[in-house]
Amino acid sequence: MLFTSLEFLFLFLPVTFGVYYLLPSWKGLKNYWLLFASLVFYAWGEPTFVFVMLLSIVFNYCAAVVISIFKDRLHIARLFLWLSILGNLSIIGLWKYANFITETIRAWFPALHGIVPQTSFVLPIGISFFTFQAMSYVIDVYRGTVGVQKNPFFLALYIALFPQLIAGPIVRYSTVCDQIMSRRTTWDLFSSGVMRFLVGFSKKMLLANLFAVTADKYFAARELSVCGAWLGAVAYTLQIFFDFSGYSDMAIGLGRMFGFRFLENFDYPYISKSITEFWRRWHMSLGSWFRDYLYFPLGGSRVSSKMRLVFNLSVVWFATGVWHGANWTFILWGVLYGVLIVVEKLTGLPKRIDRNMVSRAAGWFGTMFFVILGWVLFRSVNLASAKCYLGAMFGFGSCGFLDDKTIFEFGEIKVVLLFGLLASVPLLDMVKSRMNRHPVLQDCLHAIGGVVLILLFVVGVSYLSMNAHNPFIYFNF
Amino acid sequence: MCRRFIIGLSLLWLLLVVAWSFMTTKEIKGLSEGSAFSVTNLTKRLHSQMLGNLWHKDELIDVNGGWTRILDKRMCNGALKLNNGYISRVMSRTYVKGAASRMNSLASLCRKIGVECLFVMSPSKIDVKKSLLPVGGPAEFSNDNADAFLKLLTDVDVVDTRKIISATADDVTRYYSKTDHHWNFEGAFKAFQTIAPKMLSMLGENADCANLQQLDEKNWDKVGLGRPFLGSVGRRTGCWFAGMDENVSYLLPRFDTELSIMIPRHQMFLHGIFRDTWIFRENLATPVSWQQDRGYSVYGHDFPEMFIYNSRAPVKKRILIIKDSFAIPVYAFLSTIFSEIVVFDLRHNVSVDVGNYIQSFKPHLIGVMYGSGVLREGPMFGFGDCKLKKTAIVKETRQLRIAAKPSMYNCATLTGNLKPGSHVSCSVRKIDITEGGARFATVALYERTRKKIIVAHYFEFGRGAPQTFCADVPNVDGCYQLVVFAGERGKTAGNSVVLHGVSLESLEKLTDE
Repeated sequence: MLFTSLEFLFLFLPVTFGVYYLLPSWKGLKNYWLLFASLVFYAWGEPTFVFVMLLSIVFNYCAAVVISIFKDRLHIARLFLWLSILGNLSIIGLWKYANFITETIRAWFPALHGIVPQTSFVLPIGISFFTFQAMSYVIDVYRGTVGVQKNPFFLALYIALFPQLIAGPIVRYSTVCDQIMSRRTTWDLFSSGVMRFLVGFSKKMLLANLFAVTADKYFAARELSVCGAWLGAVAYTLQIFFDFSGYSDMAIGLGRMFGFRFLENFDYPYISKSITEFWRRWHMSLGSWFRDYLYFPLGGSRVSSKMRLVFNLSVVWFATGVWHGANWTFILWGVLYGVLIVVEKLTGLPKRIDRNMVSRAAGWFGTMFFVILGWVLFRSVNLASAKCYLGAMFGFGSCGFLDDKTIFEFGEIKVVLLFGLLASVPLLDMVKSRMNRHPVLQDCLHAIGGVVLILLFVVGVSYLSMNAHNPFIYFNF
Repeated sequence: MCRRFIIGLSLLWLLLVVAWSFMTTKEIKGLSEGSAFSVTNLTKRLHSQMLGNLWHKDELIDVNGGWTRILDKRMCNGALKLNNGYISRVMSRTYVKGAASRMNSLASLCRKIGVECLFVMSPSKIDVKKSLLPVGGPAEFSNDNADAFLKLLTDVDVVDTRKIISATADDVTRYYSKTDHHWNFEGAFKAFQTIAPKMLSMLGENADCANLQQLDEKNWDKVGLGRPFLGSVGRRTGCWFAGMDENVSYLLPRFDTELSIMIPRHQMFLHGIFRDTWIFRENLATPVSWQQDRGYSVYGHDFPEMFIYNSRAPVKKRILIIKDSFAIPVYAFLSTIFSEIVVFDLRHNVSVDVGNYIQSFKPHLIGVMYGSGVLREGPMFGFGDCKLKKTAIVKETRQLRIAAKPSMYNCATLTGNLKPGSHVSCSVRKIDITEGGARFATVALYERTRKKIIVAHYFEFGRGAPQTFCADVPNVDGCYQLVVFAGERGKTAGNSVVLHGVSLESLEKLTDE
């Protein structure tokens, strides 16, 4: 089920809320209800995949319990940790990567056609998110940073909690373990959650979906002009940001409405002046996951040789690319970022950029240039179409520099583009911080903000009423 | 504790008000019905139910159109704002070869049986030169499809109304509604002024007919709709995207008319002057919801079959019109000239095979009136096998009397044991009512074992011209018979009817064509 659907907004959410707030906190009844609602949420549309998630929950629950039993016998605990990692990677490998692996083997080694059949697994939505959450829990139990959860239903709630289930953020068990056992919803928390949900809903419905129309047209086009290709790429750059950050905002807002406090996932990534900074601001929960569970265990940046540092970064960014999808475009996208970050690490570029205005502007342009190129790789269906698209961006297309179609499409998107660019920078945050000194003005801003958000919600629902184009990019990850 | 209950109860109330407003109890029960029940199907059905019954959907669509206008976009929910501010659907390229081939087959059959055949190309809202399309906007192919289709027609008389209705941007502005993809009533009348003379010349009517009063717009009154109107494209965008159509007016004749309109499928029989028969008053009123605005259907809806008789028509000819929604006002205007018009809309499961029908009904002219949106092989060109068949007389009766009885289903059997898959027609020279107050008799194809009326038709009492009923007998085992009820089905008590010159015919396949 999508957050931006009539069923969720007007059926699932009111029922879940109504029952949740009527139930007493006695013996975790609210948790059991939330778990039940989360399973219904996941099973909506394609119920069979709920069993894949339940398999993951049972497997990781058992692994963590066994590891906690043998916590004094480190080698046995380590053995079970590796077994659990292997198990989780098998789950994700089977459903997410088997098709790609068999297809690649069959393409590279035609002689193996008889031995390697082409698999056709259907990807369970959000498998990368809930698998990574489950893995982080088991690793944290092994490390002793969190205690084992003895109630399997509560662990299931952590993994399956519907606000963050299918598109993140990747919540650590340490963040929510206390909140699962005991949490209190205050009126302030609830209302801030509602506001945050509305912000995310508006980002998704009024910006991401409108950018998607333009981006989809250009990425499906056979003939592109230079300006057209750039317009499509910029539209996708903004679409993916508002799509994913909008969904994260809705997840954080929903979490607050139920008394959970999830960590932030985005921090205006498109104002970054270096690739390193970009990844500190983009999908922060994934970045910190790879940092804590892959990069640091490999040695991080505190290694004796530069070669080792390059190796560590290469592994992390290859894994980041692979995590996003089973396609060479994602792998190349990850490798691109790996190379850029290695260059930045080795040259110390991010530190030098902050020296003056000109270098900051140059840093921003350079960063956005590579980010946009990266998104072209990310969006393309295969390497050949990525090559064609990138070629068109640099004048190797068949429609010259500027064509009539692009003039029309720019006219269609210009106001949305303006709103999108304004929403990509922390303009409102700056205004808010200025008003901190004037409580009356701040109250006014809150009141106006509330009214505006409600109006934007109505406009968003109007798109739902027309069954308008409503894709969701991160569903596939 | 208290706050928790307040929040919980408020949200439950919200649920009851909002979610329940989407569906009636019957619709909720219906969610689990159907042959292929699964959770996936259930959720899909729930989604479509919620979408269909969305609370204040009209206003939400208005909001969306208004928001799109704020964003200065020209595309809104599949509708394109043209350079003159009108909105139109965008047509993709269509493969027209199959449709043209079916049209040629029908024309060929018409030639063999001596029936005139005319194809009327309804215009597109995009002018022929495409000057109304924004530069670089979406590709639009309605005129290209029409051109390609007309090019493939061989030996078919054609009236291409685009030459008079949408040749230039000014034509479109004058002859179209702003928010509807159909022409306005003025545009339809303009087309009628071209189509009717063409039909008359094909039928060999003398030159005086070309000066008929019906063709002169001075003999028609313009009557305002008296309310704003939101057309079919406008219903997708709401009224804030491109506004609404104001000052829409329809036409009523100043000359005398006496018409009978029969729509047996809807059990409708209308008799009287043009205003009382053709003007569907329910469509004049302001609708409760714009989604139900039928301002274009002042002259009727897209009925599957209509039978129109004009006792004061200057031209005593039978016309069969096969049409889409563009033709609605045009055949209303044509009915003031021709004595008998039968209208088929093949989208709506017409009960007979067109090829068979024209062989037994024997019209003087067939007019196929289509817009560019339907020029593809499919139900609209489902004219049957279009093979020439032999008419065989099954039975002739000089007179048949149905005596008055108290029964509500007082009827007589014209013939029994009709062969499944056959085509039968029944014509009467005259039909009179001798007792009772009915206005028409009902002739029906009846399946006796299942006690089911397959298709029914009305014969009007006292009309001075022969009347014909044609039907395809379903190709399913059964005991089929033709029956005549002494009045409207279920209301025959006390009626006594006499049928003169009854003739039953069937079509038989030719061994060598």
